[in-house]
Amino acid sequence: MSEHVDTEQLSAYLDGEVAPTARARLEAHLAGCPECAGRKEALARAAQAVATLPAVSPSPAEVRAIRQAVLERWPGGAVAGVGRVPWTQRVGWRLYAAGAGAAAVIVAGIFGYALTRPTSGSHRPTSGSAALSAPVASPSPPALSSKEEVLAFASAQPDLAQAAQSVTAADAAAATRQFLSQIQGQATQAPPEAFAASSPPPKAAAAAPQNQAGVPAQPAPSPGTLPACVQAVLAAQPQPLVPLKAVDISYRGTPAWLLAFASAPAGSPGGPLTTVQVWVQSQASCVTLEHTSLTP
Amino acid sequence: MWIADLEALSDEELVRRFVSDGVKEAVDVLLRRHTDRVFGLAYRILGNRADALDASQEVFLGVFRKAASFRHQSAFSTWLYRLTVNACTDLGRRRSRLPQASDTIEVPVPDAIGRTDDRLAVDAALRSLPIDQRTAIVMRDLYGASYEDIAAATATAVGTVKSRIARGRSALAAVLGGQGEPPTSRGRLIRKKP
Repeated sequence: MSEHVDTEQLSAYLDGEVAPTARARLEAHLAGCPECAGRKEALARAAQAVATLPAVSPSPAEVRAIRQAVLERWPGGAVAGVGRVPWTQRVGWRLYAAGAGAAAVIVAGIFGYALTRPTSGSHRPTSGSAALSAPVASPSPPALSSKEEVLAFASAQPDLAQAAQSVTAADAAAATRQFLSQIQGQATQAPPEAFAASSPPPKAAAAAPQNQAGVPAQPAPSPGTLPACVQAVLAAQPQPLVPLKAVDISYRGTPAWLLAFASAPAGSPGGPLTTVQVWVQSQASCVTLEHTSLTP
Repeated sequence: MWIADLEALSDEELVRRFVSDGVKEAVDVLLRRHTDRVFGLAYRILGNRADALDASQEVFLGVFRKAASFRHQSAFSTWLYRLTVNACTDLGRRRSRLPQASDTIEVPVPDAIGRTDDRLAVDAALRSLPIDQRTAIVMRDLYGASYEDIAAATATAVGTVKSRIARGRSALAAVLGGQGEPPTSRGRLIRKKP
């Protein structure tokens, strides 16, 4: 019998780091030497034990601390945007849901508004049907960290698919105006025409139920920023998109908005807006962090 | 910068965008790509979250400060490993001169059938190894790095890496393999392969 294999070789063998000729000799020896085979097994179990340790990831707060350290200690000191209010200190997280269509009403489950169509030529703030029961006191926004999680989160929103079903391309402009006026609070900012100019004109009004509940729209969390971000996404897309919903989330530690839009399926640009496209945009400057879509 | 798809850029390009153009979102994207690995590796080498956080901050600051010295002969990820190992070694050296910092014990999450003792024992055994062996073993067995990458990250020869991994595994096998008394009274510590 050949000499026993040394530990270093056995260990390297487990990692496939032994040259082919040496490997053949080693394997021949192992086949006939229970002692070396046993040592090899013990080393393999040790390696396997380490491999089963959980990967430890930084928490969102730790990621923020790393980011802050980088930006603050970078030559030149604080980089603009470091001092922004962390989401934990903002007023909870809010859900904004809007939609429009022939029926103009979206039954939005526990989240969301039922919207009325705007009267023609005016930009009347829409009133909601008291349906918004956003968990304002929620301790933290949903923390997502992958495309799969974004998809799962969006799929779990009860109103999204339903909202998409009730929207048509012809409604894009009106629905967009309504959505933006919702998230702008009482819509005292940019006139809707400024960003809806390229959208198709609103379809003739159907019998849209007027909601008289008189519940005011929720104010936007960072006035001017979320609407600007929604507009930026709309402006960057050639096809008609109708904003459906904006959710304050944390994406891999970065404060972000999950924005859902209704769009036509990829293969039929003129078709009904049955696909929900989801963008995750950084709140700091509306950079796209993730993009995915839900097809019913 | 609006809707620029920074995600599509290479790591090197992201570094450049921040260093040259001050685009701070490039930092966010780079962090999203790499913090898990950097922090996770640092945690396993240093043994607690506070030190892992300190090391991670040094690593990412180093990425931008030393961007000019990054040689494209090696992959960015190898360079990042190297910065991480260096930061951990520096921190480990400083810590070793001080009384041991509060050694946070992670409470392991039980797996589907409630096994947590094994992990605690493995974790403790791993911590008992010298830092160079621990670093090599964690990079190899937890992060799947090649011997060559480990050698590059630790600025040693492949032969040294081979030896460190073998000695580390031997020590772990001795501690965990129940040679004589098991290290705790909680029973068998290494489960058999299914």
